[in-house]
Amino acid sequence: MNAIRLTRWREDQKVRLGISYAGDRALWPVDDAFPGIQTVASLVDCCRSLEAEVDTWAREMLETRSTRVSVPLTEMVIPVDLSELWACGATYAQSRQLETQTGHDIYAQVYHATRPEIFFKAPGPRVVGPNATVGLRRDATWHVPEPELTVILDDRGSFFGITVGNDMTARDLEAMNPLYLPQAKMFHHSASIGPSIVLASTVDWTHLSITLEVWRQGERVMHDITDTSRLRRSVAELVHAVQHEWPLAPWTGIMTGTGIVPPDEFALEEGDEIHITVPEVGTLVNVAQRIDPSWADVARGPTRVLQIDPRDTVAVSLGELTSGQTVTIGARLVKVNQAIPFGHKVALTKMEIGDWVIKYGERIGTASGPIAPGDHVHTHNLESYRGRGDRGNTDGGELS
Amino acid sequence: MTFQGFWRPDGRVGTRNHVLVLPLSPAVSSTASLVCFQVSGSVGVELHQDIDPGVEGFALAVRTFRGWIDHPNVYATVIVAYSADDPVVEAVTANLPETVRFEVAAFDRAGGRRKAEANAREAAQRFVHESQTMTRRPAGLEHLLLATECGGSDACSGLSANPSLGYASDLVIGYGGTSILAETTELIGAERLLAERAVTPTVSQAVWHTVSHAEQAAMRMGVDFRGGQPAPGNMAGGITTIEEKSLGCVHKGGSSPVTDVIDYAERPRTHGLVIMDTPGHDVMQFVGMVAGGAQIIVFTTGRGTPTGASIVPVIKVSTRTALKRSLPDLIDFDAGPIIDGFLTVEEVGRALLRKIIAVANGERVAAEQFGHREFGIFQGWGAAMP
Repeated sequence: MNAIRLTRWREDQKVRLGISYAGDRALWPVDDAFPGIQTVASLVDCCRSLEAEVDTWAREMLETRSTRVSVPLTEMVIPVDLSELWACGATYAQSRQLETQTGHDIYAQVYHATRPEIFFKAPGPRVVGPNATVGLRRDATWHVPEPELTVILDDRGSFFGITVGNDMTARDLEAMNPLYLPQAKMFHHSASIGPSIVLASTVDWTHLSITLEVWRQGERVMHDITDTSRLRRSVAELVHAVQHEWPLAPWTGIMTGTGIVPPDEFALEEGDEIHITVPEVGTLVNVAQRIDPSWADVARGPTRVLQIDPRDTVAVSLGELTSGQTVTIGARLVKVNQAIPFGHKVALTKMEIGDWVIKYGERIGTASGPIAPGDHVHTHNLESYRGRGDRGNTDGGELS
Repeated sequence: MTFQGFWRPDGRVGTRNHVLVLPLSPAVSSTASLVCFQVSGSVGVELHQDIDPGVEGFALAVRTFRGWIDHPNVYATVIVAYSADDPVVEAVTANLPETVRFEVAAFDRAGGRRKAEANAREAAQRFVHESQTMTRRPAGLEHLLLATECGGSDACSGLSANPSLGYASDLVIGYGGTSILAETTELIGAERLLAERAVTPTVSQAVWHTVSHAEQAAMRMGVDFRGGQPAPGNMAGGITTIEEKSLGCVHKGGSSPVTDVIDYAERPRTHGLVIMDTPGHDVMQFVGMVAGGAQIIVFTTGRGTPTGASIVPVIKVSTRTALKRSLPDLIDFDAGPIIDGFLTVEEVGRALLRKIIAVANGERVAAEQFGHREFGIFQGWGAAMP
């Protein structure tokens, strides 16, 4: 029995649908013969109207139709439009044994309990497909990919197919406190699936290998392999757990938990390529990218101007300040007198020639020109006192 | 907390297992490089400085070479020299511990350039072959000697990259490890903060003395540091004075007590935070810290730099995310989220320690991927410009 794959790809600004046997590079383009069928849902509707099973119909087409196209991996897109994506945890032996110092007991408990760990991962339209970027939270430092067998249920809640999923996780937030789990799991582009769907009736999903590789600047920095035979809970059990108190939305995905937890010192970095392979499904490739303000921010806050130490007579601009602008620095309002670039200093107090200028709570030199509050403080009005062979200042080390 | 390293007979632990091909004079440097490129698995350096018993700083050079040969990241060294009787060879190899493996390929003893090259290649191949039998084994962080460095400082260096490196350094020290703070010229104006953290009055005096010595050397020469310190790039980034630069730089030493002050290329005698007297020059600084036995260097930067030491990984840390984005294949770690207000210094510091462990375990940094092998030896405050 050859596994049958459904794949979608982008061509001439159109998304197309193809069917193939797992392992074959060439696809039969469904939409060539049946122009109305460009999605998995429309394929299912078509088969129902013919009173045919999808697998039987697909096999017949593959045997009788000779048209084949080969599709570049880079053009593949998310294979199915989901309405919801759910996920499970603690389903593999020891997958989380050392997840947190305070919390590993709760993972072990869930692993052995009757009730599984289920959580909502993302609304369908927020799930990304192959070749898309996956997000790294800006307020977390320790992200890992979690490669998971992902089950696709059709519009009637029947087990339609399987695909590969990446349940991106911020492990530092997860380890901090179990109540932060939703934030560790749900963020922009934190879920991806693909590249293809394999029809459930054509594959034994209880014995699939799942390989994870992470490539950084052309070098493989992490790789591991697991097998779905190590999955402690059955797919039916997980589907049941999701649906018995939550009538399933049409086309729901369920990620079944990870059997691979990267070593503790491993953290994803921006630009990392994540490759997850299940031979029957193909390789899901995504690139990690720190969430960009232009994607996610409602509004940028006002430019921050930072007074590092309360004794400081200058503050640092963490943005571009324009002349005439009024900024809040701690408790005071300062009107800026000149344009001040990123990283440059703005005066907080009036200083005369020869006065000490204070930053980090320490002397950074003396004023070489009169300075008014709001002035740009730089080489034109501030100079080093120390290291001045030209002046012979030798007492400068003895700051009182 | 542990890392996976190569245990050496003297109890130190390498983060790498290199075979080093080391030239002892500029005249044989091209031969050494050729051997290094021919023998896969060996690394080397380019030597441009004349090393001569007559020149200022000869003792520093000898100590530096000895530190590189007797380094935990080095499995064995092939020394390339012109003459077997060269006093430099004699000084560099005399009384090395018995466990240090090296071989000398000398032009005169081998009978010419080609034969010396062949000897060096044969020795390097043999050492590489032998080195491959070693495997990594766990070692506690008390075996880690972390070197800190900053270059191309900007106004964010003192707010993001350096404080988070300081936090990581404090964590390493908390686990019993050692961290080196260097760049004496960039301690000018910040020495009081360090002297107050010294564990004994003697160490405190040594902090004052070392910084003042570097400053006095410049004074004697009538040099105004303002020409080179802060550098034009620092100034464009918003840093105006040497004191301001120093106060930002010194954050990379964290808040641990200062346990010792050591000379250039010396091996630390204590655990904890150790100050090494080095110039601000990026390459001379890390060459000295490597000679002291550092197995990992963390280099913070506001402008980026490709430089690296051939035998020790150098982790480049950007002060701002924009820099990481503009030089994605040169920066290994970004401290920029602190500037954007998303993460605290402590959070980024902990993440940096995770990166340090990953690199100690063998993850290659950008400078290693590109094969950087810069080398330069400090000749002492009497001879060198800051």
